[in-house]
Amino acid sequence: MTRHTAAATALVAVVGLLGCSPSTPSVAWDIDNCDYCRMTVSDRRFGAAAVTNGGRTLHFDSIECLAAWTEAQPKPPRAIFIADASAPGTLLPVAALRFHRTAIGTSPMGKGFVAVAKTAGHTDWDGPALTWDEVRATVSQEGMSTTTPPPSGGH
Amino acid sequence: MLLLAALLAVQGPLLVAPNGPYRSIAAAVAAAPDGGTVRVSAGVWREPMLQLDRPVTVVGDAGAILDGEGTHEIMVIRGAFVTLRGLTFRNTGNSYHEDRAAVHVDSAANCTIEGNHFDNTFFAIYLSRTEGCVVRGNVVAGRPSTESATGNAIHSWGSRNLRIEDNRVGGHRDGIYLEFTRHAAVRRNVSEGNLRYGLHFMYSDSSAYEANTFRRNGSGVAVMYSHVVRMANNHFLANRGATAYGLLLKEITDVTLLGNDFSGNTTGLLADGAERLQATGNRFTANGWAVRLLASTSGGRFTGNDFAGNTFDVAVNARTVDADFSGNWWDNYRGWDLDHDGVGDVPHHPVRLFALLVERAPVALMLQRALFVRILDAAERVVPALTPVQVVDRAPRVSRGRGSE
Repeated sequence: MTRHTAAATALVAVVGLLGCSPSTPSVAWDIDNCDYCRMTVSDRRFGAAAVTNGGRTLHFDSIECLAAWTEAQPKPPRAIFIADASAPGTLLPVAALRFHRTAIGTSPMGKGFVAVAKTAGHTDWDGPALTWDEVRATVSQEGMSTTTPPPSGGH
Repeated sequence: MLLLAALLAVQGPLLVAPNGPYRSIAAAVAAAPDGGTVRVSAGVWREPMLQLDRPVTVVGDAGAILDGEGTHEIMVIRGAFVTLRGLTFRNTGNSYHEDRAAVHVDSAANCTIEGNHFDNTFFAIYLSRTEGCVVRGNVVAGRPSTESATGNAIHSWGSRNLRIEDNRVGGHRDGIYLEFTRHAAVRRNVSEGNLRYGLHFMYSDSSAYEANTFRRNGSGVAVMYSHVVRMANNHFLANRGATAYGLLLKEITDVTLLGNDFSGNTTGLLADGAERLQATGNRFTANGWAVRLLASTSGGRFTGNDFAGNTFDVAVNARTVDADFSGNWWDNYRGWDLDHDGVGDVPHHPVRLFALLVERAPVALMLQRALFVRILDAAERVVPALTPVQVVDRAPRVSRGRGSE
């Protein structure tokens, strides 16, 4: 009986934990479409996913799309995961990442935002480090439909 | 001037060959006068990255191959009036840290890149902040991997007055990609078998796309965040992925679609946030969805188009969609033309009830051939209750159009 109780408790604990911290969502690269701009999620350096409060997983081809979508929500999503550009194709929780606005590589929406693992040390991605809040504020301020090139970008 | 011309004529092109007079392209380019020509003989040339920063023409004999040995860009053009013709570029290798290209034009004007071959390159031709360049008659063959470790075949960033004509591109992420580019003319290119888009442009205003063929690309063609776009007589063919479309219009204003072919696509035309879309004389044939209009689209006008053999001719995701249909030919029109004026006597409602159901619950698609779905559709056609009342063709043509004629 106690064994069963223990097992049940463990099960509840596991389920509870899963409920609290969603596991890293997967991205079907080259197949999933961005839930903000509809582009195919393709470039492994820039993809992202958000788990909504309703439990749905949304995919994004770029950090700027994720930021624009997040800004349009009444409250923050349950969890956000973004590709670590220093290990393309690997998603990390947003808290484990630092951000740069880079001239290296063209981000899918052209604004040049890139995320790198905080543990990665120095990488080739240049520019001063930004926080996720700063990235969102910048995207919010610039808007997504500008046809002026960003200050950095291209070569 | 005459003297200079005479000198050039006497000197002729500077020949690069294994036994000289020049044994490397770099040496010949360094020795060439402004406006001079370097001729590269057949053979595989492995040299460090070549910089062209003044007016010079580099032409290749048949079999002249420039090899990046999988490690570097092959040519960087930084001067005006550089011409590359008849060369084969190969093996740049991949890079996650730079947009590595076989030919990289950076802040230069009036370049001509014509009749070259590109084999196994990350980016083939990369134009950054250029003015007045011509990219014509090149053949770009990538080696697509499932890793998607590939750039675009022809890529333009922040450029003006660009002509991209008569190229054949495939095997890259996007065949032709324009970003922050204005006044581009993209004509008669064939872009097929690319991992993502045959043509993709964003933030690129006032450009024209004519007589191109986009076939069997991963997701089709995507046109986004741009104003004043004209697309005429293009072919959008066989883009069949689950989420693929012939042409996606996303946040576009003032777009004209004239005499294009949309055939064999999962979705022919998908408009999301398109304002003032004018579609005339296009042919929509054998698509899953010929036209899908999302509620964010406004001011659409569809006149003189042909719809034949599509599973759904028009689908919308809301009952209120601001689009005007008139004078189109619909193969499933069930009216008649008793006065023989070429126009059907009863209006045609192109949105099937079932299309509306599928838009809300995609799994319902499995009922496509069910009898009761047909009964529902027939009932809805007689008494429209759920389908959008605005989306109606009040003057459907009873005979097929002649495209854009």
